[in-house]
Amino acid sequence: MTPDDPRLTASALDALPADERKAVETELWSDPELLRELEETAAFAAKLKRAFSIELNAALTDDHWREIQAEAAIVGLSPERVVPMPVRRSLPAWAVPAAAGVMLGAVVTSVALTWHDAPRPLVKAVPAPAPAAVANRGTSPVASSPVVGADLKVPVVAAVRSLQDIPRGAGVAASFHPAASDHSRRNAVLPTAPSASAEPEPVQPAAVSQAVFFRNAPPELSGIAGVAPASGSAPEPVLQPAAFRSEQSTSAVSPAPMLASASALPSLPPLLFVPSAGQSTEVAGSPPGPVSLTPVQPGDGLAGTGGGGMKPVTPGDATAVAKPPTVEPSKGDEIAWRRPAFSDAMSATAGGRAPSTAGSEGDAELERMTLDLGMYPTLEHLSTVLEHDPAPHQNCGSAAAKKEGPKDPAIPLVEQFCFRHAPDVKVLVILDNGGLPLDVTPYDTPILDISAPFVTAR
Amino acid sequence: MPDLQALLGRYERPLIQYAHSFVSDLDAARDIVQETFITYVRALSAEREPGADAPPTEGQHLEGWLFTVTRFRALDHVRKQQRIVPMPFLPDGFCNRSGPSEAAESRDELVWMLKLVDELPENQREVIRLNFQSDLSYEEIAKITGFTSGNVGFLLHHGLKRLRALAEQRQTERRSAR
Repeated sequence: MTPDDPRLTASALDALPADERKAVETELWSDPELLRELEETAAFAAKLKRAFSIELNAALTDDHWREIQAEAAIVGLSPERVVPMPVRRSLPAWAVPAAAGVMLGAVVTSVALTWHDAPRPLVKAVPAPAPAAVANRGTSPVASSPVVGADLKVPVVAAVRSLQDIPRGAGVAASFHPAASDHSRRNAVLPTAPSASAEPEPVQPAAVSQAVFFRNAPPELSGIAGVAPASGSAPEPVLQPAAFRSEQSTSAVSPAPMLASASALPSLPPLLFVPSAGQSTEVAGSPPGPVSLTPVQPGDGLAGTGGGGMKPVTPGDATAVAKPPTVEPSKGDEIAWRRPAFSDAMSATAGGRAPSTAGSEGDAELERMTLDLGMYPTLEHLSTVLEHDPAPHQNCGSAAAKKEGPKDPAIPLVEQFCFRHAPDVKVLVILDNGGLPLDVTPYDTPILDISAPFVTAR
Repeated sequence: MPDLQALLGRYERPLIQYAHSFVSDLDAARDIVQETFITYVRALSAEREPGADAPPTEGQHLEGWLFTVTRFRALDHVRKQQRIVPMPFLPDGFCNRSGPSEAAESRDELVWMLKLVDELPENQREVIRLNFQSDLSYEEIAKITGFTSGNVGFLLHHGLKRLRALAEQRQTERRSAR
């Protein structure tokens, strides 16, 4: 051992494991120089400890504690829940093989019975969910809405395909749904329209294509299917919730459906509205028309990552969508995206400007920010993943975790590290989650490809 | 909800110290610790992020969890501020917890020693604070910072050696100045 051995300091700080301590102490006592170094280190450490003891000794104020207690009350945390967790008992060695055997037996039996009973084709076409079911899902709470599921695939594909049929000049479709953020989950409460709640109206898959539109398509969006450059004659995108619907004539309504605008409806929760028959909306600057609005919850197959999860992109879905520009964001880029009805989530602290809420400059405009990949740990991860990780998102979490060190235990690993999933992932929404760490949420359902982040400046 | 405060209250001062070592602002440090506690409260409840593990409720695991979350919040705060402010020394809220045996030791000398800590590289400074200020073990520091336990030992060793060298150098300069 030499004076440069970290074990010497560990010994002085009494931090050596028991099995090492004896061997190290034997070495130390055999060398006077080492012993002197040990004593000096211990003396200095004691002095440093005293120095730290005179430092800041502040506590939280009563106001801080009141807010914490209030939060506990809001989330329904009762005192009895704040108890030590029971020690997890390990299963006996035979339990896992036994359970596996039982499960295997059950599966084999099930398959055998199915084979025997029904000589039907092995591949069965799965019909799309009934429109009523789609509408009903839209009225269920966010927490119970499916995040990722095969049942979402059909409406998503239908929606995507129908997007290709959008006439040019209609505007830019965008269906961002910032449902993955804590903020939006808290606020994603459906508006209760008497007519909608009493009798959910069917949503036609084709109507999905008309879900959200912008009038002023920016130049960088031109060339994408269903996207037309800004047109001064197009109607202003304003959407009314069901409670404000007016049943009026159908003559003057643009075929393009409208997008909820946070500036117009500041209290509107971040929902995607899908027109359906029998309801109507009003278009600013033009006569009101009979476009009906049905709230759609995240997880309905329209908004991508309902419930905060991330949905893997299936190749079939992706091919149904016109490809957005393939430029990937990198440090210093200005990226732009659309986020309807969620203007409060993006704050200036995220490095970009807060979204404008004034009139026509509201959420219908692209929001922009300069991507500063060195600004947040999460964006550093993003940079790493974008550059080096060709793997699907299931792998990037562990890869990034290894590279970047510990994760914030308060945030799921997948949301911290998985930003690059598949070549089809194009949308990146960056939310400043009310003071919590930056929430970088990719939206990877194909419908969102249309409103991908566009590198607008480099 | 007295249990909550009883559970978390014992960590508030070390956490504020720790956050303060990053943000150099007592109010900000308090806010960060408050955020950490609120995050903990949410994590205990159904508001937990989907996929996030349930937080620990006792012992070293809880301490490590709180320190780790505080660290992330503090780093986030620093990045949002886009600047790292040199730590203002001895702000309001200081108290002298030294015992009578240390009475003879000049307070100035201790203050001066803490200033030297701020001259260390960031990683050395952090592990020294976590070890000496928060009384955390190598393993606990490793969990919080993401360094290996061996790295923590290495950083502590070289950080202390560097501090001693700086102290001796300043001592010599002082003597020669007199």
